[in-house]
Amino acid sequence: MSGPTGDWHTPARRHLRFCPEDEWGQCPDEPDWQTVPIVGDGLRLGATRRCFRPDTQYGGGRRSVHLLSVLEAAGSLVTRPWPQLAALLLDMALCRTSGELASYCMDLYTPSASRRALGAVAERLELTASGRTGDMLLSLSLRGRSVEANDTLAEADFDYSAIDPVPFRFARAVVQLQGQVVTGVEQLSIRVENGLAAGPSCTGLIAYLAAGQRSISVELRKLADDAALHEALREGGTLSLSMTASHPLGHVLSLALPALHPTSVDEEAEPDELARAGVNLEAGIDEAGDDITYELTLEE
Amino acid sequence: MAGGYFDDGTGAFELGAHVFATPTMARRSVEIAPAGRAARVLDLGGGVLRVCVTAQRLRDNMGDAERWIYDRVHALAESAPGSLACEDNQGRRAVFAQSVCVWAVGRVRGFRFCDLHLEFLGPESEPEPEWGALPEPPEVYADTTTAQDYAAGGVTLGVGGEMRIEMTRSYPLREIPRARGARTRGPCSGALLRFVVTADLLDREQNLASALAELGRSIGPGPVDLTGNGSAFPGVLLRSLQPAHTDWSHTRFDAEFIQEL
Repeated sequence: MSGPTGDWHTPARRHLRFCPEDEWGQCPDEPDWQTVPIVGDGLRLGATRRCFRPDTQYGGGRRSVHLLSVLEAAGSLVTRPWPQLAALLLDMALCRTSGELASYCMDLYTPSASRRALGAVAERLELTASGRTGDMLLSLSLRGRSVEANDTLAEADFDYSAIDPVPFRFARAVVQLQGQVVTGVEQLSIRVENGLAAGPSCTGLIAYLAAGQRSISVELRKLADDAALHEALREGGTLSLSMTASHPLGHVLSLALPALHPTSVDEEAEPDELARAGVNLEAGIDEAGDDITYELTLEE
Repeated sequence: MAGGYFDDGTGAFELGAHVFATPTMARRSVEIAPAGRAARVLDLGGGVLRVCVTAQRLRDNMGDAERWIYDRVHALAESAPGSLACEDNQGRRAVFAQSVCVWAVGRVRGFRFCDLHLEFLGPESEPEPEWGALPEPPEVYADTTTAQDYAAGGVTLGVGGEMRIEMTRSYPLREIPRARGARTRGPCSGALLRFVVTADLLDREQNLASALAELGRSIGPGPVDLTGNGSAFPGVLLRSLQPAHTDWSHTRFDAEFIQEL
């Protein structure tokens, strides 16, 4: 009986580490690697190529022309807000220097095809907190300059010892709307879109990735237990929302969106369930010019 | 076998590996619709075909594709009335006699695929000439590359450039009354070639507007050589330099050059 051949492996043997780049698309000479745990099947970062095909019947009945041109790195990463990683992961999408996002060099180890993505920039960040599971997930959508093979990687290069075993959890978080604690939150999603603009193709690679205008949207699903959301929507004002998550080891992560514009409230009232309200909000800026802020306190 | 060619009697040249034409026929008439009386339509005779042609060919690299386009457009711009011939994928052929090319635009897609759109005018009722021999495509042009390194008079035109080549000329047709045809007549106007380079200007040090203005000034007012991808197009004049930015490509600009023939 024959079995699988080649470097077959389980997801437990797939590892990720990354470091900030000084120059876009260039791995630093002395990289400051940070290993990041992958949640489930949560890493889909790889190479993509644009393909041109003539839109006429060039060549007859069989398509004979496929011109593969510009190489790009693209994909997603799903992880959790571990205390030692939360700032790094949030900064990837939220922190800008002179209007530009930082770029990262990412090493992905797999026993079969280890590779390195260069110039990775966070196109989108989604923080999803679920009241049913009590977990929080951080999903990053990434775009980068290139992907290359990296056969020098070994499993021993990935060190998780500096990361606390337990991430921040929604089960230990408090959500406040207009300064009032909101109970019965089933789902909270904060989505940050960085509006990345890719430069032109230049000798097979994109010339740049520029951050565009940031847009932040929030979805909050909770029990329909008061009229505050409806009232805010009718009046057309703004709401402030904050979430503070505490960690068993004493770390605290606080996220605040000071000026949210409610755009719609959807209610669900199934016969055999409690009535729920889902509100969609878009973030504006407050008087200080902030749309989203976070604060992380790590206990030594 | 598919393809097409144009032959004005001085030597046929091929138009691509995939050439198709869609003619539009127009006959002139006078319509009279007086109040309270029956409408009348008066046939003025004559008939002109406007033939829109798509011609495509895969070449070796971007510079090679641009040179292929340039050579076709240049030859058409200087051609006399001739036979426009095309053959479809099933081997069916069509030849349009006494056709004159009055407009052309060609661009390279996918970095080496030539996409040429042409417009010909011709008489409606000319007999269809015999199909000739399909010329061989030119060999790969030497020293051409896909470097996207466009420069005008030695001044670099941004990064990631792509170029389209356009041609216009006037070649009036005299329609023949009481017959279904027309004759090409002179004098035709000399053709103008336009080279439009679309590229991105990356300048982290100064405002993009200043960088663009400085780029225009540095090219200067006189004729210059437009170079790129291993080819050179001499004696072109910078006609305009304009931003072509959007929210998703805010560094893009168009540099338009003209060349007289």
